[in-house]
Amino acid sequence: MTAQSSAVKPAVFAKFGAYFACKLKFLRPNIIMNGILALLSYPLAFGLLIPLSAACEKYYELADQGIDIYMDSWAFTARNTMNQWNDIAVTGMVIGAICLVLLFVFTLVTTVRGFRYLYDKTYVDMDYSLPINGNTRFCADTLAVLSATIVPHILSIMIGIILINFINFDALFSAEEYTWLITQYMFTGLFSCVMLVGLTMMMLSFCGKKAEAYIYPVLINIAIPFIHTLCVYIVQNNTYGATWDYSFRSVLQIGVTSPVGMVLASFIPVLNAMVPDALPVFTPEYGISALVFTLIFFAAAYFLIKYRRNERVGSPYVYNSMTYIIPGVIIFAVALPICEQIFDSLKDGESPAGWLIGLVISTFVLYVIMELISGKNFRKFHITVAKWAATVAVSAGITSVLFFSNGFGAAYYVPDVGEVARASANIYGRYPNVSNSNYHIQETDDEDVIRIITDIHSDIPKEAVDTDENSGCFVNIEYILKNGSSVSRLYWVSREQYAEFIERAVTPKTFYDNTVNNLLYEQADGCDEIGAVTAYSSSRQSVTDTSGLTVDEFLGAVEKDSEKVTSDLLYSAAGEYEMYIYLSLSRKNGGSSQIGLQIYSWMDNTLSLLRRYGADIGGGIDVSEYKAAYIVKFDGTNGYNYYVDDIIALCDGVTEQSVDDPEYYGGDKYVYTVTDWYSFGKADITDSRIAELEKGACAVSPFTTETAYLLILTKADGYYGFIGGNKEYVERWISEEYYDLAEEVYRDYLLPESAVNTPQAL
Amino acid sequence: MIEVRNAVMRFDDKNALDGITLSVPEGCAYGLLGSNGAGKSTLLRLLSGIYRANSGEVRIDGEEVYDNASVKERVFFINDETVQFNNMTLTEMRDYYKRFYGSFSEELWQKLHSALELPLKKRLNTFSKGMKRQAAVICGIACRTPYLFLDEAFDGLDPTMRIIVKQMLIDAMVDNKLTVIFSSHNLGEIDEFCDRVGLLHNGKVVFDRELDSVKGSVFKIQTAFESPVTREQLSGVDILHMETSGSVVHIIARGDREAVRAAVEKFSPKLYDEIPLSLEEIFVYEMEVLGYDSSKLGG
Repeated sequence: MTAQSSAVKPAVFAKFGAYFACKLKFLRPNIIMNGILALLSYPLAFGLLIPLSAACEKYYELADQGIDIYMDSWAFTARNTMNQWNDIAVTGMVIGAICLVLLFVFTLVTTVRGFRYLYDKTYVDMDYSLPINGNTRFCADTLAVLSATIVPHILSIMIGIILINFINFDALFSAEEYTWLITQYMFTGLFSCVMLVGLTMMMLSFCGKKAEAYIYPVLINIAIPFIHTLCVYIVQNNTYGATWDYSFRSVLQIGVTSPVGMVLASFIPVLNAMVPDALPVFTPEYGISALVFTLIFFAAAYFLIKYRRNERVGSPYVYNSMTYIIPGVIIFAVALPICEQIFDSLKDGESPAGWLIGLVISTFVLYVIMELISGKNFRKFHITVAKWAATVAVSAGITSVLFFSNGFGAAYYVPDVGEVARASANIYGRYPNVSNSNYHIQETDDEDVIRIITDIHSDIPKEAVDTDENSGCFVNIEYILKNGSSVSRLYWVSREQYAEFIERAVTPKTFYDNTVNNLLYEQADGCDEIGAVTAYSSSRQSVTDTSGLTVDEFLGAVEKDSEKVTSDLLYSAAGEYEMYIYLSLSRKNGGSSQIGLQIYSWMDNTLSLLRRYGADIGGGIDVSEYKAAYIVKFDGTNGYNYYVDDIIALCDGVTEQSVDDPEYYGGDKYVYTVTDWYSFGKADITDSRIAELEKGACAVSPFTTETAYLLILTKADGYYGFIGGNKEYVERWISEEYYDLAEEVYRDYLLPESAVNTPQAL
Repeated sequence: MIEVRNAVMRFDDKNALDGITLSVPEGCAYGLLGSNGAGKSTLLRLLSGIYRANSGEVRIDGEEVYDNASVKERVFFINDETVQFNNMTLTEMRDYYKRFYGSFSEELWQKLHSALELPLKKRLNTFSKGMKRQAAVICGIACRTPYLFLDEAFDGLDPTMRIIVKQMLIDAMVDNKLTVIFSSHNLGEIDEFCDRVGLLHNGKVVFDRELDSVKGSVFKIQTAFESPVTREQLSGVDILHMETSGSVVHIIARGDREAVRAAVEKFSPKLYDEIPLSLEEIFVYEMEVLGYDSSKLGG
């Protein structure tokens, strides 16, 4: 028995070797082509970067010595040499990129050619009549195809890795760590080509004709990542209003299911502005899954080829079920986005007729083309129509499930803190045009802040999407995960939830980051001194020279103040004020920039620091400095939309005809009415109640949809003085505890409609 | 020994082979006859292990053929197309088969090649159809497999080449006890070359017998009667075809000659002559019985 086995084995290997050699010989043109493309990819691109980096190094050496390139011939030559090598290297990289794409394409072509007997009848007789069994044939063919495609690819990577070591990346990018990333990209490309061979073999095992054998592996390769991303987009867009861009940036999983997806997924971390430790396929999560999928493709190809029936070669599909499945997948890819638009229209109560027509025409034309490729002569055209209709119906059904199921709960996925590299959040209030109603948590890698975000995220009720969207409140969260993908979520929440989340989001750390985020950025960019402070509130503006005030000093003061922050201080700041200031910053090595930030009256340390440097930072308003007062009442508003000029004009007896600007109002005549959403009147500035109201006033507009009162104080005593140039004024929102008094003043001074609405005007 | 039992080969909803059973003894030259689409090529592909039967058994020397490398090493199949070798030269084609068949004889190949004088270095796509066929045949014979299957083997060969190739096959059969199955529409060649024939029609075996037995069992009788005799009156005779021309009656009959003669002589014929039939005539009359006849052309 043993003797027999040992006798058989060499024979089997001899046959394997013979068949493998024959197949390699057959693939010789492909091997040559792949070899040329491989040599023109990484080796060419990196090879040309070597002289470029050397030229850059030489030039920067001279530049660092302070040599004027226009005066010194050596420096001038060095710069020209660098520019020439730069042009050559860019050309080389473009050629390299094109060759890589072609290498990918030729991997597919070589695989299709290597398994010619799967779709060409003449080769069925030639290959299957040989004295070898199916296993030997499959293994030899697979090895031959891999040798013809992957070996040149590996050689080019090896040469590339050697060449990288000769490139001075410091001179090119100042980023040596990219070497490891570039190497990972090269191996991602290689892995995707191995997966491409597997997927193509699997697809070939279904196809019985040359046209199908070439077309369908290509289409499926594109369709898989496209469908995958679209499915995620539909779920995310429907649930959170996410965009296509957001959806794509979150689908690292496409790198697992298809070769094209693997290449695309490797660029997702870059799109998320992240240099990952490892590209997706080099992480256990995606790498193992991609490997498993690749093995599944090869294993499926093995069994499908083993059990396929050679007599069906020449038919479009060797397996009958594929007659429906493969065109079905292609049609699904086309129908998916259109069906999503149809459901979107239905949801919004709009007519989907246009999209329906688009769906019918596009899918039908595509289906007929696929039938023609399959050699159908349409003698039974009604069967084609029925198959198309069923395919579209199934596509629409799957889309509807995705659309209405919130991805079977995947929509409510909350990542673990440990998985998150960076996170940010926006908690929006009812009035997006009023800054105070929103709170932003800057993108941060601080674990405590990330935990606050994930905690808020976890506590958003699952039915949140169904809550009254008219609350106007929503929470927008974005995570960049450590694996390089992003998760973006937007939930509509009730006003109570909004208030609760704001309370949790406002912490010393988040407030500090929010307040000085831009300043920190400028500091990192070399700004170390605040040369001047411009304080701004309503129409009041003052500029103070604060030379000597360092950024560090200012940051220290803000940090100290931040310890006191609570949501009450920010959103229920009755009697407090906020102020926008602009800091003019100067850099150590010259240059300047300006940034704006918001400070509050309770920020004692910051205010005292600024005042110490002479900055005119506002506090309470001295009413006696003003010459006129106007009181405005808002009733059940949807936002504070008013025009100070109009209020002053109308109160001072100018009719609406004079103040109207038809263009401003879109051509409509302005009609003042006390039943409108706001009404007003001019108060006597000497009325002691005005000073009383000011005590409880602040610059912060209240977050309410109920009644609110606004006091406008001007330095001019009337409309003509105001438009004559003295436009200085302040807006003071009355505190709720003074509303009774405000109502009393309002009633006393309310401008009657008849005062401005003349019969001619109406 | 080749044995096929109840083999069914289904193409979509049609049975290309519908439960056929036949056997071919070793050293036999077997001719496969049949109308177009009868299933001859399909049967040869089954025997070569290219196709797998939907049901039934296909065995060579007692072993299943499909996906069995050791059996396939004893089989060489030359199909009716040769385009797959287009990119090879004759030398490359020889080397190709030499790698797979351990029994390949270089010496024999050289001998056969010298008889045909085919160009060695030219690609086969520059060869005529007949030259490609010769190339395939010499490779097949040089492989010295015990079984050689040829589909439309002599198609494209000129008369001289037919004789040469036939002689090569005969020599191989004598020298190597080669079992040959070949399908052809040229019944004269099968008549000359084969010692056993099988007739296929619509995927079924009409007969599978020794050629002599076939030829002996179907014959033509030329006879004349005093008074007209109808086909029904000759009900004891298996008549394939009957035609009356004046007083002379031509009958194509099947069965035992003596029994047929006794049945006809009951009607006291004035004339009784037995005329042997060619294989082609037998094929035509047999197929006519199966409803496959040239009279359809004229309506």
